[in-house]
Amino acid sequence: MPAEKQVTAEDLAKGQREISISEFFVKNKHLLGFDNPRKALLTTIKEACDNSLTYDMPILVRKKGKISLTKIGELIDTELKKNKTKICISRDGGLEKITAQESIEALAFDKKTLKLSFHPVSTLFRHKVNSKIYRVKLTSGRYVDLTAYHSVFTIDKGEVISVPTTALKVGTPLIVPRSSWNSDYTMSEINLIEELLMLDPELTKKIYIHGINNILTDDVINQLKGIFPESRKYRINDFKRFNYLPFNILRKLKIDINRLSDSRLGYLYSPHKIPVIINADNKLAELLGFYASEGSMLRSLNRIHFSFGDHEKEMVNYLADLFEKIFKVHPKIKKAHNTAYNVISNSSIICFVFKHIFKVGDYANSKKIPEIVHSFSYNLKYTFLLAYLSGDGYPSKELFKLLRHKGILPELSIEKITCATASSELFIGLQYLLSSLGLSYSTGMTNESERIINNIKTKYGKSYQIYVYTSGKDSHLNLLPIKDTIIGTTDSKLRYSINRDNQINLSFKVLKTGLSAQNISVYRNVKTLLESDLGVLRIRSIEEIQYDREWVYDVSVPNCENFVAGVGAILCHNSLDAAEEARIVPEIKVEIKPVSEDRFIVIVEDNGPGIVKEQIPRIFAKLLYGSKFHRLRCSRGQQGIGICMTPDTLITLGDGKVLSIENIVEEKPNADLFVLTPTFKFGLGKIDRFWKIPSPPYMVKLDVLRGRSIQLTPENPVLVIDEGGYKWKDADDISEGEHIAVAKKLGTHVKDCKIPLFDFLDEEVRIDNSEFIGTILENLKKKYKNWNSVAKRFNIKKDQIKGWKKTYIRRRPNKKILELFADDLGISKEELIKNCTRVGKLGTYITLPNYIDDSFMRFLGFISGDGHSQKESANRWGRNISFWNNNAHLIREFRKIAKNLFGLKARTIIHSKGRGQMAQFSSSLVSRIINKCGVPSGKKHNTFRLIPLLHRKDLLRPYLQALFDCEAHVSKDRKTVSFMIRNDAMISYINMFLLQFGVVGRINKAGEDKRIVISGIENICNFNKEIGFSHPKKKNILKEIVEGYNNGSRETELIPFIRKKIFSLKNKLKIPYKEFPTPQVICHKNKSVDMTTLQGIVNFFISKTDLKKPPIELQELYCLLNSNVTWTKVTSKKRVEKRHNYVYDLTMAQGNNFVANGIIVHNSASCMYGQLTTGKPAKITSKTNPKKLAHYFELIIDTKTNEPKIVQEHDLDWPEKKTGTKVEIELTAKYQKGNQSVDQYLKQTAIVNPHLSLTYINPEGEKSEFPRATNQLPKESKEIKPHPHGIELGILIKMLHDTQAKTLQSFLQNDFCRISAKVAKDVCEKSSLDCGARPERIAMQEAEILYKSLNATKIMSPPTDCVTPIGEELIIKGLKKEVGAEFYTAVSRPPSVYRGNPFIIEVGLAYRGNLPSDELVKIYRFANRVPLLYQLSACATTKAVVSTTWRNYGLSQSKGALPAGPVVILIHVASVWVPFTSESKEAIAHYPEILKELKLALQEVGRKLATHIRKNVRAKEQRERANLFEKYIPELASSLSILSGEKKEVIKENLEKKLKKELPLLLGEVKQAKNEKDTDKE
Amino acid sequence: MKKTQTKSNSKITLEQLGKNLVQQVKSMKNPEITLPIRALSNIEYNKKTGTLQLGSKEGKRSFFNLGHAKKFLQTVEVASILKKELLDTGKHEHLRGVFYITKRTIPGTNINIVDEQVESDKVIEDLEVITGLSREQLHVSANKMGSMVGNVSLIDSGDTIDCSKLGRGGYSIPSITDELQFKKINAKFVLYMEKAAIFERLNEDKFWQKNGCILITSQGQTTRGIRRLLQRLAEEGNLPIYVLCDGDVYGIYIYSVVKYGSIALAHASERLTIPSVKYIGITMDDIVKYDLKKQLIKLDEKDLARIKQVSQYEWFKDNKEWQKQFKMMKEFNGKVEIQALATKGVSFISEKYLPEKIKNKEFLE
Repeated sequence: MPAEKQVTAEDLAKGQREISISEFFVKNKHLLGFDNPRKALLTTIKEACDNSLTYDMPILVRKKGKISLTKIGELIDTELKKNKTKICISRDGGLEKITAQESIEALAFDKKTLKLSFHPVSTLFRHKVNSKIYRVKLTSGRYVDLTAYHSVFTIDKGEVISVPTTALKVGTPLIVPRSSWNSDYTMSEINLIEELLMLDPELTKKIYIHGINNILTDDVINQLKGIFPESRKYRINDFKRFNYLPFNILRKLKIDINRLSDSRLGYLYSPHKIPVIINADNKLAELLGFYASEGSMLRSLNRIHFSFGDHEKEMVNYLADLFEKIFKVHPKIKKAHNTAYNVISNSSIICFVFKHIFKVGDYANSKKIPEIVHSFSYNLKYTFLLAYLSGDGYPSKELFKLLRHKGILPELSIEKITCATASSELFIGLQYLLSSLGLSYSTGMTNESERIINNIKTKYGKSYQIYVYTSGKDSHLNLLPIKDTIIGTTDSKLRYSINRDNQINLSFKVLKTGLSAQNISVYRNVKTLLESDLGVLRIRSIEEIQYDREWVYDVSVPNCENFVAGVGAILCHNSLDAAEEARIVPEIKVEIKPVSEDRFIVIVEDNGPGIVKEQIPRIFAKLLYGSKFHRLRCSRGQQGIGICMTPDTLITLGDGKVLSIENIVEEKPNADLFVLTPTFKFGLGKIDRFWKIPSPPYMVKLDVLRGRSIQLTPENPVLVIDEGGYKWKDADDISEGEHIAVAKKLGTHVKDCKIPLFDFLDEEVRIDNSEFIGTILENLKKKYKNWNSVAKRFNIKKDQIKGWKKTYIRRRPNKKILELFADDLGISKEELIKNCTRVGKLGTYITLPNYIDDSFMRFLGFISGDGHSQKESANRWGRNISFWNNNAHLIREFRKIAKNLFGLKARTIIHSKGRGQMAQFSSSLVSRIINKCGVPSGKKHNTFRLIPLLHRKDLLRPYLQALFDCEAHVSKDRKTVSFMIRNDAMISYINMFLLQFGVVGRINKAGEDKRIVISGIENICNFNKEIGFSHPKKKNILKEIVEGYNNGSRETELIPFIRKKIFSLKNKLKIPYKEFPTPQVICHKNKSVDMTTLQGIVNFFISKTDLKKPPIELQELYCLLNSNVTWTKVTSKKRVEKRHNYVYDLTMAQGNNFVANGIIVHNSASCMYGQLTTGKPAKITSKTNPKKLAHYFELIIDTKTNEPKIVQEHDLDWPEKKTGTKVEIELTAKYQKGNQSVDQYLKQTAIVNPHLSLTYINPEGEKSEFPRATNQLPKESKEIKPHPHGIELGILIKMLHDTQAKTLQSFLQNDFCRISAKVAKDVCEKSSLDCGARPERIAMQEAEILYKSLNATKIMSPPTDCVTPIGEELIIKGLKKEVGAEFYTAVSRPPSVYRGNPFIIEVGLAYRGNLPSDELVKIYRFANRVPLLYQLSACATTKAVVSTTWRNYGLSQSKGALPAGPVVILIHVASVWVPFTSESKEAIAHYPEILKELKLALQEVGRKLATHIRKNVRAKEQRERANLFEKYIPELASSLSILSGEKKEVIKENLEKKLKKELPLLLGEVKQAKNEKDTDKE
Repeated sequence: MKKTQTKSNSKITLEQLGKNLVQQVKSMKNPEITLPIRALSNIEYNKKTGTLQLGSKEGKRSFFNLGHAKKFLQTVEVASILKKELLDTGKHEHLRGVFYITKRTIPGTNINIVDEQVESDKVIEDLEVITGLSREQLHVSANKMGSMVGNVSLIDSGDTIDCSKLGRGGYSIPSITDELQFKKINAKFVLYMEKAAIFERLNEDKFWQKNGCILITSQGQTTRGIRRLLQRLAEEGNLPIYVLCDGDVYGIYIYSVVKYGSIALAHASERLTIPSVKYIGITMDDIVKYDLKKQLIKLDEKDLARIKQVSQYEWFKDNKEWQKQFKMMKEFNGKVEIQALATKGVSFISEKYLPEKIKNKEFLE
């Protein structure tokens, strides 16, 4: 363990950064399905312990003695900006803090005396928003916006304690400042020069100081000469002559500014010049007060004016006088119009002073309390307030009087002063001012509205009201909660109040008198509280608010840990301490214990600081949620997305109801679903769990031959059959042409329960059954003695009851009251239903069948098909229900049904234009019932949905028959029944309905329409048998078709890939060809066999075998033959972009699948991870302090809310660890060894994390140790916001959706790096989108345009310092640790950028040693320190290795292949956004920039390798070289001899002689040339 | 004139080279061959003659030098083969054949004297400059790659050939055309085209008959034989030569080679270049005139780089007409093939395009 100082968990909990277990999880997210680092433990821990205020929250601070009220965000942002170099960034950039550089003090209270005063701030923080933001509003109208974990103070039994936001409730008393707080510092004058010097020189460049001749000493002139170049020396003379100096020159001069106190300030050439010293006296306070209420400035800063009504003439003169006295400038008084006077001064310098020094804000809705007012003394503040109130308050005349004679508010005759302002900042400032003055007030707000004044409509903006209580008597502030104040009292009146619970507060006055009379006993600290500066206000409301900024803020006030913030001063707790990060070198133990063949317990243990008890559930909830562990490789899905389908997927419940999965998951019915049993029959299974998970970026859409289709997450397995038999296959792996299982028949079982039509009636429908009602009323009278009591009991009028008893038809009780009566009298529902057969409204009654029956369903079918019911608004008195059809038989039937069901006579109308006949009757009641059944009025095309209650086989049969009678078409030639309706949703429903009857419809597209086509012998026969037609013509045709089939037509259903099975069974049973009944099956190439043939074959086999011990193949064949599924070809597989925000899934208690959209899909159970797979809770042990006990938790996740639920929790002794965390998760998985195993994964993890000490026990009990190679912890990396060139369209859409920014512009500016306001506007303009548009409303197409214009805009490259490499040294250390080799080298490339994302490539290489020399090189790939185990060949790293010419570096390599040799290459790609080829994050995408860097890095290590290899072979090489000449010489000699005719031997001899002489030189050359070459390449 | 040297002259020259080297060996010197550098840096454009000529820079090739040893060996080896196998026997051999004779492994090593034909071809060119003999004089020939048709008759190795009676294929131009004799030339001009396909089209349309001309094609870059033939037709027949190429930078380069000579064969410029050659098409103006914009093929980076290079050649640099062509090419960001004219009709080229151009004298020089 290094000697670094260790920190306790409690400290860490507040400001934790690195916890080793979390780091481990980040690195092992492949194991855990954690691909998004945000989801990982590291982040969750950080998130769990942050707390802060939002940007806009005002905070009162004192800086250099001056008090100001600023937004906390502004304060901290400015400080951070000013001291960029001193910022300490931690938690991946999630937290920035800075030690207060200059003295900043915040108002805080002393814990002991509870007195308010300013205390120094030690540290300023800001961190990323990580929780919901709540606005806590108090009774007086004060409010504060807090993160969920921030604390405020409350009172508990007399004690002032802190509570987190989450613990607050409406009514909770909160501590607020009560009495005045004032600084001891009082300002007597303002030296404008001093103030101006503090401003940006850019601002003051037009300001001139006049009257400076007295300071132009020789010394100053010399200084000036130094400033101006020779050519501009004349200016100095100008200054002298005109007696002025540009202000910015002053900045460069070394002079005592006090010597300038008599000079004056002016603005450019303006004649107005104001004194440098302005007294901070009543006059100024009054002027500022008036400005706050009535003043305004032009934006150009050349006119300031105060406007008054004509009744305020007195004030106008007073103000003009004030103005002149202060600024020595005479303002104009102008009658603006009939009723208004203005005091105007066209002085830029005064405007400047107001804006930049007094900081008054310039417009009605941006005005604020001038900053200096906060530094005023009590009296001056008071004066300011009075002046303000005179202007804005009511009654203004009295207030003005008060101001004139310096009176105080209680002198007023009224108790409440109302003032209103449009500026929220002024509103907040005033609240602070009032509370600093100890005045009580309450607030109100008026939204925008229109008002009519003098017959002119005017729009009034939002305005805020403040009510100031003059006497302070009834102030909320002077009350304390009784419960937490008084222990007991002897005052009987008071005791009565307390006991009756109707008084919850107690005023200070009562308390004080009670205390002095000694008839009240109070909690210990109440007396202190009474004397203190603090008061109590109750919470009026707590609401979550939208917060569109990136950061939240906090300051740290040592010793006090509180400060005053919020709108209207609320005391906030400050718990985010300056905890230093725990620098503990990680030590991790991983153990996988087998439970059964496919079940394991994973135990992960670390030596981190542990996790504080309260945070464990939060942290692990996020860990467990959405994780999975499928074949140890479930790294798929962006955010741990499981296997899910789109919300509109239809599922048939056991009782026949067809519901969308969304409805099932949202409503969670206690329903059975169809589950495919191993014999391929459907059984029923209970739903165990429901899933709703954010959608992945794309879904897989499978279309099958029968027109069904389903959209699944890529990982969702479906059942497929192929040569090898049937198996589950991930949707993404399925290709076109494969056969998947599709339900053939979902034979629902019908619970024979009757559905009363009574339930479909509206409450106000009246029941006409005088006899029955008479009996009820009599019984009621008996029960309640008289009518009065009956009336009272049911809250009705006596007259009403009397009316019911009369025979007058319009007076009948309605359904609602009748039900109440029946309930009261204990009359059963059946009886009620039986007696409510005549129903209606106001005199028109119809009969109503008791229960829904066949003919009702048939009626509904007619309406669904060719019927039409008028819309509600169409006819007030009745709604026409009509049925069009050109078949007289059906029309007659419709009329008959109407008569039988409702007792209504329908007219028959024959349409003039030959559109056939129409039967029509009118009844709004029947219309309502039809609507309630799910058949809408008016155009029913897209809203039609039969309600699930009616999805019952027995009810569907007549319904479908009627529907098909109307809408279906029977084709004799094609032998099909087709059904067409313009309603996509309905088509899928009907298809699912048909499935219940074993009729498999095919959905065909016919242009825009879709139709269900029923074809094939089985389907047609089933249709005929189960549903059929009553339409005579259609009935006949169908009959003919069926008869045609019976005369020897063959079935069409095929079972694919079955020939092999039959063949092997035949061989197994040793049946010769001759005996085999259908040898063509065996011989034929077609792998499919139709059902009839299969039936024959199975029968044959059965006759040949011993049925007591049937072979497995036979059983399988039998199952397939009698199965409820049909194997259907996948016609298309597409990836579709996500359309829904969420996807859904179910987990079955029995079986592992269910039927969705008629397709059999695998359920979650076996794929989801941990608890999700085994239902076992995660067990977590955490020890945070060596001296304390550890905490043990068992945790499960509520799948509905994704919130953690603690099953068990207790303390536990864990002596072997000082601190640490242990997590135990049981899950279903498969353990395997080899290249893509956990073992390999951990080994590679150890390589890239040399600081990690890892112990691993595999399921076979073998223990491996990966010791630590260094104690050096990796550097932290900074977080940056995404660069616009670096994001994909899908991510942009997601960002748009998730952003907290309220406008597009702020979204662009805040959510991306390197986008300035100008660029943002530019982009908006380019994409012709409004800057102010709400980001989440940007449609897909618009987002695409936005994306394009973002990419088309030139934007600065992102900062590259956010990526941190492992480092060459550590890579070598890691390699040395795990790979035994002779030579190691590593290269870390400098950061580079691809598509706006910075990245770093690092390559390590190990050579020779234990490595096998006759194999291809091994590549270890890492992305952000996470090993990549899959898709080696698809990875950019592999491509880079292959395309590097290793032959240059001494390795052999065949073209297009990896080099061969005893080499391990380690490649690490670190980036803020590693581009993977797919969501499974297994291979890095081929971006040219990345490939280039990869190649450069590889070449670099290659050269190093080559140098190493060459060193060894150089001697050999030299020998070879010398040899070369020896070999050349005979050749040259013979050629020369041919050429010249000279003798070969002579030439040879001479050449050899020469060689001997030349050789040493030549070898030297070799060496030299070699070196040159090498240095070149280096 | 060098071409008048006899065979024995060639042989003697080679022998002289050998003897020279042996002399050096005997005096214990490092044997070396001096030869002019054949690279762009040593090429001069002679404005007067309008041809490319080899400059005066010289390089040395010696044996006892690691970088040169193999090349030196190759040069001597090839020279000896030329002498022994060809000049001594009076036979001719193709470049490929020379390569195969040279390609053998040095005993006791796995080193080949030459590995690729490029190496031996290069050495032959080297020998040309070293000895001042042409390839033909060294009895090395290249592949036949061109055809000729038209109102011309000539004597080739004693056979009289009437090029107007040779069907669709035409007369197959031998690699060495120095020894051809023109018997009768009855043509107004010669049309030389890059594409054999166009040649076939024009021949089928009897373009040469109708317009009284000679059609010559090569396939791709113009071979020496054709260049020499063109030069002789221009000089001996006093015919204007028109070049018809694709409207791209490679087409223009073909024209440039025919007219000014090439870098590799700068030493043979005076025997090969024809300063009077005119470029007939396809010009960039044709794209506008004949509305071929739809047939444009987009330029890739390689094309653009080549345009930049070619447009900076000294002989194009100051030629406004050509600079305009290059500029347009870049503006169109596309190139066009001759065959694109077929979109206007199969025989558009023979019936309209060429006659019009020739009539209006729309040539580029």
